Amino acid sequence: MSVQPFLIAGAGLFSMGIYGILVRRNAVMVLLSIELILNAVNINFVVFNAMLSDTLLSGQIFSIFVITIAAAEVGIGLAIVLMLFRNRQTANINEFDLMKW
Amino acid sequence: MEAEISINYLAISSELIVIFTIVGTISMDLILTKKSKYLIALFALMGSLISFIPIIFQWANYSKAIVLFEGSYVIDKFSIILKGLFILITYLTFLLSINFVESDTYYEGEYYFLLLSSLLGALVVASSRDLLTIFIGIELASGPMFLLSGWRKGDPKSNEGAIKFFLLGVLSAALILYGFSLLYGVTGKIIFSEIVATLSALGLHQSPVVLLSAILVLAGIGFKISVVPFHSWAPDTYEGAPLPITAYLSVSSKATGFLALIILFTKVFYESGGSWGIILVLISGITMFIGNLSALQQKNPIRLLAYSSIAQAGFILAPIAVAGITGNYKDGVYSSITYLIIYAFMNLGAFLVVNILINATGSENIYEWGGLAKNSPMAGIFAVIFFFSLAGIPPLGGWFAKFVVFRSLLSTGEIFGVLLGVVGAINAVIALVYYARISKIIWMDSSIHEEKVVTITNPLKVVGFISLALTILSGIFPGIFANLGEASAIFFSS
Repeated sequence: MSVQPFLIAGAGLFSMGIYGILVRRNAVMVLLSIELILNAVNINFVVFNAMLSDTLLSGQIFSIFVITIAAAEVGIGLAIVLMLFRNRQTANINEFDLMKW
Repeated sequence: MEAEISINYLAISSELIVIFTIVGTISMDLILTKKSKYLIALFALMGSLISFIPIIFQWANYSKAIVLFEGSYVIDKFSIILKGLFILITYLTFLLSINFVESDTYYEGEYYFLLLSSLLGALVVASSRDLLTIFIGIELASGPMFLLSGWRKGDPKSNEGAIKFFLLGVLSAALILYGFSLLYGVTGKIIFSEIVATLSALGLHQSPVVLLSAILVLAGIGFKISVVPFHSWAPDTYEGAPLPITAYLSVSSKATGFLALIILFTKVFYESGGSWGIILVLISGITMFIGNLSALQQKNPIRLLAYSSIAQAGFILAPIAVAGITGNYKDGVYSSITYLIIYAFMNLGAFLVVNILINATGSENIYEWGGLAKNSPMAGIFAVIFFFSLAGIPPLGGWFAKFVVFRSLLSTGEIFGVLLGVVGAINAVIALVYYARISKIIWMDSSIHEEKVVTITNPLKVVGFISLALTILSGIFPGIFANLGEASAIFFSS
């Protein structure tokens, strides 16, 4: 079975994530876009692991670590967004403009 | 069949001590009452001091590299020096923090817990020799910093700095990971030496996939070390974060990023140095210009130091960039690390001065600091020495750091090295303007704060004198850095 469709799916998710980060204005949606990139990475690792038949399973283990770290980072991110929302009543990143230059 | 696993606990003892201290601080926070929370600070200070002891022992005894966990983790003199640097910086940051955290209404235990976790990440990066370990190290070092930069929960500026830092920080982690996944896809290995062996066997060192992977990793680490065009978060986050955290961010986080960059680019991507070297040369030159020109216009001392530390990152990057083109990595790494170590202490000192003066005047505008040196000559002397050292005036440490970098750039005879040397020389002059301006305001301008008392508490004095001693000694006796050259030779032989 060809691995190309999977890699294209991974690259597509990666591009969608980058697009979302650039276009979305809600901090939570930006966070979700970053999660898309991390999932693209997971797909890549698992597919490469299957393709190379790596007996050490480094790719699969790597993706488990990525999932764990992504969960930790979402925890941190939601805490920060919550704190912002309490103080400013908005999660729109365009309105975070207290500091410039 | 059960495989025999033996772990050299002595070699990783400083990491283990830091882990125990982390667990200790978080449990003490749970148990202790509000009145005795200061014990947590003492415990964290002791823990970081004790974790320095194995470093001294290892430096004396490990003449060869110790390889652990099947090549994933290497303790050599190079990593020992950097671990010592990280522990010392964290210790000094604790000292900077004590009065700050006590004067605040926020919780104490978390603060030390998070800083120590960041230290552990930095220690892991220094020894890591595989993709997974280095990634976890980078994330462990930067994750707690997202939270710490938003420490002042009620302050909208602190929140804003934290969200900017967090979104860009996680994006950078995702970019690094995507680069790693491509590298794994090409080779099927995650340990650096095996990756390089496979790439050589397949003749893929110059292939587009490997170059794309290098570019993605470079973009990701570019955020961590805040070089142009990935620097936009730095001034805002530095301004919003508590001052001790800002000092730590500009010194230790930056050093961790540079270390990851050096390890990855000289251990994995070194064969394709001709390609990424030119990109790094461009980034380094532009970083110096943008950092220095932006710093010239700043009134806020913290933003000024933020832009100055962006410009300094350009100087640290320059020798690695030229080494990529010439292939003389040993000299490039030696110069960069020397600059990094000296920069760490003089920048900590500069933040100490800013901390003292902001606390004394309550003003975040350098033009309102006129004549403060008359109120406190000690703060004035600290200011002159640290800012002139950052500018690279002999005989201070910053001069030797700049000398090493310029020697490394010019000795190659490479056209890019010479060009970068010229850019660096122009920028050293621009930087002198704003560094000297602060000293001029503090010493010569008419005083508007005559009644203000500048107090320097004892922990701050300790930080000041340690940084001062290291800044001056490294300028007068640069011979101590000869050890570093030997260490970077060992780094490349292992």
